Amino acid sequence: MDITILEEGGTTILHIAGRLDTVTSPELEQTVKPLIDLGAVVVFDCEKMDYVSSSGLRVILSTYKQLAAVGGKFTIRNLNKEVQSVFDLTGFSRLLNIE
Amino acid sequence: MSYIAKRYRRPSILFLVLLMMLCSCEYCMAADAAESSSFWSILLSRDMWCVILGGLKTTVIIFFFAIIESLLVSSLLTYLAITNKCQWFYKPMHWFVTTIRDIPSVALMMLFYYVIFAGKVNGIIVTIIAAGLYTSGAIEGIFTRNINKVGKGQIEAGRALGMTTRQCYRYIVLPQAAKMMIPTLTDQVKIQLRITSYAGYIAQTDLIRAVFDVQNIYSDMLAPLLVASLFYLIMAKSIIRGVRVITTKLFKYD
Amino acid sequence: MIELKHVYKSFDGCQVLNDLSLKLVEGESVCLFGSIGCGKSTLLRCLAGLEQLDSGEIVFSGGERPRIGMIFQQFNLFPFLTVLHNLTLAPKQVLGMSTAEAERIAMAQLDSIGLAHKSHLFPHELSAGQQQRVAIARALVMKPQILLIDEPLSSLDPISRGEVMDVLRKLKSEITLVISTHDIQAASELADRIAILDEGYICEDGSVDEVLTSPRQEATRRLLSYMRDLHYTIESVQFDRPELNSRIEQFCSRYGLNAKASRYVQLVVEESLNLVPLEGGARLQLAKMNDDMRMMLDIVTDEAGVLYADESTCRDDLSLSILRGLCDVLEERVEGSMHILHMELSKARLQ
Repeated sequence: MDITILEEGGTTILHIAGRLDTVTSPELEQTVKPLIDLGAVVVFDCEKMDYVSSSGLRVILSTYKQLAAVGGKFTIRNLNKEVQSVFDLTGFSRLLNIE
Repeated sequence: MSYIAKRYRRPSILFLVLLMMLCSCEYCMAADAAESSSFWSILLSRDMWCVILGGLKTTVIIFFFAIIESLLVSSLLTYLAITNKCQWFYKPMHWFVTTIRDIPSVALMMLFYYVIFAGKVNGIIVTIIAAGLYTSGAIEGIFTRNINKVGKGQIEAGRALGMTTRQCYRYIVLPQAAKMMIPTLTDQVKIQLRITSYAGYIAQTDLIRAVFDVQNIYSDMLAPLLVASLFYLIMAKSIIRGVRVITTKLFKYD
Repeated sequence: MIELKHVYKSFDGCQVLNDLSLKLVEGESVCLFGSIGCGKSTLLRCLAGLEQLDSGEIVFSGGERPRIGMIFQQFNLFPFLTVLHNLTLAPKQVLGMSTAEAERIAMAQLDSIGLAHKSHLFPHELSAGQQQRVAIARALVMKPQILLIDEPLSSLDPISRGEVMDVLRKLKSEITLVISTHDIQAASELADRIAILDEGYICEDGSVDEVLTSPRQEATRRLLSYMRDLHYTIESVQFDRPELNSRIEQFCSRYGLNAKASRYVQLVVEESLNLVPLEGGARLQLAKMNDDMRMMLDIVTDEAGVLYADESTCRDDLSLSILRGLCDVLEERVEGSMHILHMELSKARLQ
């Protein structure tokens, strides 16, 4: 998995490429930790993410909850069909802000 | 200028410059002019050269025959080790040539001359025998290790192509082993050259002993020592070149 | 052409060939099929004369040993010689050919496998597939009547496999081949006849269609099932997940499933492993059920007790909800001391 971080007008965008699974989700968790700040706006751009499992979903859920607690905003965008179906199965697509 | 002259031009010039600097120092430090001229008179004297060249001849003879003996003994032992033949001969002989390396070569030489041969055999022959046996254990180890480094799969591929085991070793294993063993083999051959200098301990006039003989005549060692060192340097360089040329030419794929 | 009669061979007390008998007919392409370590390579080496038999005999028709060439799994090219010299060494030393004649034949052989332009290179400068093709060409310059090929594809990546398979397909019609492999696909493509090795003897021998589709012997059925299916043993929680994912990918590509289907199966496996306790180990079996591309996944543990696929007792409800959405069938059963989590995926989900 590759994570590229870009800042755009106060928004931190994480471009996630590859697999988000049991092996790689700790890396995402560590990357996101320092970004959780008062009023932070974080976006996960998942255009190049081709696989997500429950471990990845937990990191995403945890990021959402932490940002909500500090008044921040969390968005996920550009999910492909396969990954979207996993979000749909688990109800995450109803919970999270997906573009 | 010939190839050999070109190759040795730089070290030769360096040596001559060093020699001249030493001689200048000798002249400056001399109590009187007579002393400094003694270096040049010794260097140019016929007697010195006769003694030195006599010692050189002995050294070259001992070295040449000892290395031949060493290579023959180590090749035989390597052959027996690989083929597992004549173990009744191989095992004791292998033990002997590897054990004698723990004895200082001077002591070994004296042991052979004064004890084993009881001083009754010509000293040059004894030196050749002792020096040859001394390095054969190491050379056998070099041969065996480098031959075993070549993958067994290549021998099998050769045999699968219809080659005999002997052909496999000659055309597949030895060319590769020879290339790998050049550095270590060169070191052992140079050690053999150094061992010849111990012949003086059993009353043979090799090159080093000749230096002492010149000192006894002229009460001065500088000139003969410099000349002897130059000869050793030339022989060592020749060994390096010779081992490389012989091993690569012997196993070159034509 | 060659008959092996009651052949025995052991190494350090381990019996590798155990009363093995086999007939090889001229012009035929025979595949020796079996799991790793069953004695295929040893049998080939005995035929090539590289190993001595403990007992038994190898009989050659006409009393004369035919010219036998052998190709090795690790290629065994001579690294200090160029490709051309690799091919000319044996003709010059064994057949007494002149350098010019040997080079002419070698270049013709290299040309036939498409590597004439690489004749001046050394083996380490070639890819694995090219090295194996050079090894084949090197054996062929000696004009063997029988060519023994030991696991020709196991050291190769998929592209190199394709290159070497092309060469072997051409050879099949030209020369008697004996190929050892544990690759079912290669066996079915390259062989006229297949001999199954199990525990050092031939347990079944017949045409490829007969043996692969309707094996008569239980040992053959067991072996084919083992070779076709993916079996993976997990020893603890810390197991090599990337390796398992790679094995799943290979398994799916064997059946022509694309990357998307492979990721789907990997997700099912990952989520189902979250449901079962791995501390005591587990065994995973992934199999294609029938021609309809239906996949079956069984995860077997020796842990009795709680139900894994029940919301009230499961270890991970998120994984369970994902699995319920991904699988057509999700059930668990207990068989003796074994607890089996069984899943099925239909063809529609994998396409």
